[in-house]
Amino acid sequence: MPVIKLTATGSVLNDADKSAIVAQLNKELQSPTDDGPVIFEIPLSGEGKFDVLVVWEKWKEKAVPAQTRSDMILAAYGDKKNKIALPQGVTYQEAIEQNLLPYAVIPMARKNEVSAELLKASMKKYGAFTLPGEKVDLRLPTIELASDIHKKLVDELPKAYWSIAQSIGPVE
Amino acid sequence: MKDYVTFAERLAPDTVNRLERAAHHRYESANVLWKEKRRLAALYMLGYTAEICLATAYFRCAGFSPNAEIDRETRNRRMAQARLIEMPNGDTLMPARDAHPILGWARFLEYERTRVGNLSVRDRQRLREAVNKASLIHSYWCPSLRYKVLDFGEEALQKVQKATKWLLDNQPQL
Repeated sequence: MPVIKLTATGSVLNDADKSAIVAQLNKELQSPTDDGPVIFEIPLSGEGKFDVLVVWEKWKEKAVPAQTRSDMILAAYGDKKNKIALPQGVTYQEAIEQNLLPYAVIPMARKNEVSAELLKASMKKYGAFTLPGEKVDLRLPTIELASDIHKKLVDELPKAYWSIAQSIGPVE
Repeated sequence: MKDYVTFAERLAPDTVNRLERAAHHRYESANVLWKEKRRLAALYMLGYTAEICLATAYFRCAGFSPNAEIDRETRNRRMAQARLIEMPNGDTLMPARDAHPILGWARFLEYERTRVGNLSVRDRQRLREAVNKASLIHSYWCPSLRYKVLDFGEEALQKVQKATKWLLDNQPQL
C-alpha cells in the first residue's frame, strides 16, 4: 500500500518568532516607524480601560492565530496590559471585512489642486495604510477619532477639501 | 449635514443593566404573543431574548460594569474577534455573516470564561448547557423569520421557550 504523507498546514510559529514579534510590537509602541503596525487605543466610556486594535500585515505573514495575536499584544504592553479590555490583532483586509475601521477621512480635491505626494504624506502622518498601487487609505475605528483627525487635516491642508465617509456594515 | 435626529440616534446606549431588562421584556412579549396564537412572532421574540441574554453575559464576563456604555462599535469589535478565533474543527466561534449569532455568543462566552479561568465544575457544566440551549434555539430561529408568513408548531415553540427560559433564569451565573 502506498504511504501518503501530508504536511501540517497549521501555524508553525515558534517561541523565537513569538518573542521577536512581541519585541517589535513593544518597540513600535515606544517609537512608531513608517513600516510598523497602525495601533489604535480606543477608550471605553467610564471604565478607565481601552481596546487595542493592532492592524498589521505581520499577523498574516507569520500565520499568527487570533488568540495568539491577543496574547502578544498584552505581552507587548507589559504593565499597562491590565488597562486593556480587548487586545485585537488584524490585518488591513480583516479590518475592512469586519468593518472595524468604518470611518475614512478622504480628500475631495480635484486632480492637480494639491499634489498627490503631499496628500499621501498628510494622510500617512495620521496612520493611513499604504495599499498596492501606491494608494493610501486613512481609516479610523470611531467617529470621534475621525473628526479629530479631519479637523487637523483641514487646518493643515485646507485646499484638499477633507471629508469623512462612513462604511455601513451588513444590515442587521 | 442632515438637520434631524432619527429615533434610533436618540436611544440611550446599551448597558448590561439595560440589556438584562430588555431580555425580560422580549420574553414577556413572546408569552403575550403565544397566548394570542401568534406563534411565529413569539418565536421571533424568543430568539432575540436568547441573543440578548448571551451577549449580556459575555459583556459582564468581559468586565463591563452594569452601567458602562456598550456602543455599536464596541460590540462590533468583540464580534469581529469571535469571528477570527478558530475552534478545533476549523470553524470560527461566530460565523462571518451572522448579525445575530445566538450560538456564536454562547461559544464566545464559554471561550472567554474559560480563558479568564477560575471555573468550577458547575460553572463549566452551566456554560456547556448554555451552548446546548443556544444550539437548540439556533436550529429553529433566524432573523429572516420576520419576512415569513407561516405557522409554528406548539411542540417546537415549547422547546424554544423552555431553552430561552433557562438562559434567562441562569443569565446571572453565566
